[in-house]
Amino acid sequence: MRKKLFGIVALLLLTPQWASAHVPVPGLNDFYNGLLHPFVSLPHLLILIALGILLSQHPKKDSSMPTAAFLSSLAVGLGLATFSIGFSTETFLLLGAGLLGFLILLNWTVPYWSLGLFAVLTGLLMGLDFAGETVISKAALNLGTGVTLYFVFVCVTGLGEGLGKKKWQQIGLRIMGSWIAAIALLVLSLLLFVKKT
Amino acid sequence: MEKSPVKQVQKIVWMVLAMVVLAEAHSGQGLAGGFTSGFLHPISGLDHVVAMVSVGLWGAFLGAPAIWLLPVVFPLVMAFGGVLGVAGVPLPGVEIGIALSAIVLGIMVAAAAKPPIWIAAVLVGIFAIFHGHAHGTELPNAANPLAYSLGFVVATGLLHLSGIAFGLLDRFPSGKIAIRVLGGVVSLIGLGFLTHVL
Repeated sequence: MRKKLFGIVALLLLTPQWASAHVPVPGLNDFYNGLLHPFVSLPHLLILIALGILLSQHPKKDSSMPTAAFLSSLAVGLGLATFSIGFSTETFLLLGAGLLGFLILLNWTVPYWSLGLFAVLTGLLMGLDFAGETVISKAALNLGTGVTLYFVFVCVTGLGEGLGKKKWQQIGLRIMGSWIAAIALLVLSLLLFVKKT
Repeated sequence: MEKSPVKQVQKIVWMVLAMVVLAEAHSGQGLAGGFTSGFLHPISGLDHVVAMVSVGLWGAFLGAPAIWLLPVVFPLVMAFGGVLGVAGVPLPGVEIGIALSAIVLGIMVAAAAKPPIWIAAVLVGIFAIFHGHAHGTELPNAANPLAYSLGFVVATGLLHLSGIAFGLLDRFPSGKIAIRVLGGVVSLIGLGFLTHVL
């Protein structure tokens, strides 16, 4: 059983990745391209929304440390990516989005430390994924990317906290978790079974 | 010698008509194209639409917790069916399964059936596999698979929500009748697909 699991994980890691470098919008400078960057990279948005909703499902006092951990690790990841240190982390981001989506769906209160761990891993993996970009100023691109990711994260967490008070709103968040897990599962299966042509 | 303006205009018109037409329609490439084609996939097939709407209708009819449990279960199990489709695992009678889903779910709504929640969840889950398999088979050909998945999961969810919204009319006596009539119509449409009339 363990060997089979190991085999599946190894297969996932060896799967062909979709273009990790997203062609910047022509005519815009690197900073503005960075601002738009997360919107053309759906795995990043998917896991970011999942993390934001998961944090919003927990008591407010439990979400401040993971928020700080996420922002710090994102800064570290983007900083490393600026020096071209990193790799394509799309598979891991999708795996993470699937896991977080499932946790949202179950509406489980996960241990405090694991929230911090999810936040650190998400921030770091997101940042490192931008190492492959070919632009004039990586620093400007990554700064713009970081700004957008920060605002999206804050907005999702804030919206989740605001929306998660009534019963039907909590159900809405759980349905979103189900959607996120479903999307991640499908795309992971594509990575696993369909060779890039 | 000067040509008449009418002839000159005529020439221009002929030249314009003879020109190669550049991108006439939106090709649906890339991220936006993937999302659009994924979003349109469940909506453009009447068999999918009626089954999704009846999941929401039935959920609303059954009340809590089915009202939210069924729409939560459906996308996940549908994704599992999608994985089977992507992996190329053959599933016999996918189209029959989809047509049957409309018939059975329509009958459940029309009859105002209220089975235990686990039976409803299993029934909806089985049909979700057929719907997911149909989507999954299309997935590898999508312009952007992630955007395609996002589009079709969101569209499916919105169809459930529209069913739930309609199902909330059951608090009115006339609304109850309208829902049950709609259930009957759904099962007739399913029958139409099963017999290839539609």
